[in-house]
Amino acid sequence: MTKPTVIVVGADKGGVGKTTVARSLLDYFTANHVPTRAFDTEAPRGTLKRFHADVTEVVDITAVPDQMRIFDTLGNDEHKVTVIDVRAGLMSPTLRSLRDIGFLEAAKKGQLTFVVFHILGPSIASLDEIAETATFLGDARYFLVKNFINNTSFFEWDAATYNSYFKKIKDAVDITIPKLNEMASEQVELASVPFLSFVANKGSNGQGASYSFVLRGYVRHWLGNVWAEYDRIKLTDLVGAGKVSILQTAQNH
Amino acid sequence: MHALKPTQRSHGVARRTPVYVVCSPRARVGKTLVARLLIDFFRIESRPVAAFDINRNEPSLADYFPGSVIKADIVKTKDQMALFDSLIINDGIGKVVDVGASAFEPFFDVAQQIGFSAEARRRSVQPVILIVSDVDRSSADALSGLQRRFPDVALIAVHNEAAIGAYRMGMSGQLRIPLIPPVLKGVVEKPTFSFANEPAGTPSLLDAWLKQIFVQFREFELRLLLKELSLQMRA
Repeated sequence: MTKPTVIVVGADKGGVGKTTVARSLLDYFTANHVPTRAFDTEAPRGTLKRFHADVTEVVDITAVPDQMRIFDTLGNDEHKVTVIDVRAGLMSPTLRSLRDIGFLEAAKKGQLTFVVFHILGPSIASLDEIAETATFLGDARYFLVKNFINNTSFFEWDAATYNSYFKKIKDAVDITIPKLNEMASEQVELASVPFLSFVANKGSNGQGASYSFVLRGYVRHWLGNVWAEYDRIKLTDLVGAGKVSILQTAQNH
Repeated sequence: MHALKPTQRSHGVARRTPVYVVCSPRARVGKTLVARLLIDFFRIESRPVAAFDINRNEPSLADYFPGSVIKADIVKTKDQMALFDSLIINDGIGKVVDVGASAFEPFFDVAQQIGFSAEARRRSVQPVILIVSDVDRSSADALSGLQRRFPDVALIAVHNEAAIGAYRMGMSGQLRIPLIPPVLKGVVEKPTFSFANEPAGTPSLLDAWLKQIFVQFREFELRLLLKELSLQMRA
C-alpha cells in the first residue's frame, strides 16, 4: 500500500480563492498522472464538484459519517492523494477535528503525508488566522498561499508584519498564485470545466469546444505559472510522483 | 471576418495562411504605408486579404480602407480576442496587421503570453513580422528582442528610404521601400487613394515605384515557401 497524502485547502475567511487553488491542484495531479480524489465541503452546493465532478464528492466535514467517508478510506483505494476543499470558516474546526480523531498523530508517525494549503486574503485578518492555525499543525507540510487571482488590490499587510506571522510556523513555505485575466477567469467559470480542459478546448464531456484562443492562452500561461510554484515546492515529490510540463499535458489532454 | 475584395479571380495557389505584422517601436516611419502596400499587393494578386489596425492616436490603416479594417485596442481583452482569434484561423485569407508604435510592446507581450507563434505553426498559419527601421538603433534593438522572443517566426527588416537617414538593420531579408517620387507623394497620402485601383499596365512613375516593391514582396514570399518546402522534405 502506498502512503496516502491528504491536502487540506482552506482559510477561515471567505472569497479568497480556495476552490480556485483546489482546482489548480487537481489539474496538476491529473497532468502528473497522480490518482487523486477530492472532497468539497461546501455542502450542499459544491463549487469544486461543478468543475471536477468525476473525482469530487460533496461532504459535510463537521458530520461524523462524512469524516468516516474521508478518513476511513485513506489508503484503501487507488487514490494516492486526497484533496479537501474546506469551506470558509471551517479551517480551524476541521484541523481541530483532525487532531481529535488522531489523524495528526498518524501523520506524525509517518503513516500518511499531511499537507495544508492555507489561502491568505488581502486583509490583516488573514494573518491572524496563521497564528490560530499553527496550534493544530503538528507535522503537516504547511504552505501559505498568497492568492492574487481574484484581486487587483495590494495586500494590506507589509512584509515585516507578514514575516512576523510567517515565522510562527516552523518550515512554512509561501506560494504566490498570480492574477488571471478577468475575462479568461469568467469564461472558465461559465464553461464549468477544469482549467486543463479549457486550455485543451474541451467541453465538460470531453467534446470539442470553441473557447477563445486568446483566453485559452491566458489560462495556459497562468496555469503554467501556478504549476511552476508547485514544482518549486516539489509537490510531486511530496506525494511521491514524477512531473509533466503543461504544454505536454495540453497536447495529450 | 470581412476580407477586402481581390481585384481579379484567384489563382488557387495552396500555401499556409500568411499573417503579416507590420510594426516599429517608433511612430512616423512608414508602417501604415507598408501595410497598405501589402494589402494592395494581395488584391492585385487576386488573393483575399483582411486588415487589422492596432494604432492608438496615430494616423492609421483604417483611414485608407474605411469600413474594411478591424480596429483593435490591444490593451482590451475583448479586442485582443477579436484580433488574435481571427489571426489564428487557417482560412486562406491573408492578414495584414498594422501595429502602431504605442501598441508595439503590448501587442508582442500578448502574442508571447498566449503562445501565438506555437499555435500558428500548429494550425498552418505563417506569421511574418516586418519591422520598419528608424533613424536610431531602436528598431534594430527591437528586432533583436523579437528574434529572441519569437525564434521560429520570420522577421523582415524594412528600410524605408523616405525616413531620412533610416538606420540600416544589419540582417538578411531586408526589404527596401524606395523613395516615392515627390510628385506622387501627395496623391499616395490621400485617404481615398488605393494602389490596387490604379489602371494595370499603365507605364507611370507610380507603376515603376510599385514594381520595385512588389518584386521584393514576391521574393520574400517565395523564400518563405522554399523554406517551408525544405522543412517538409526533411521531416
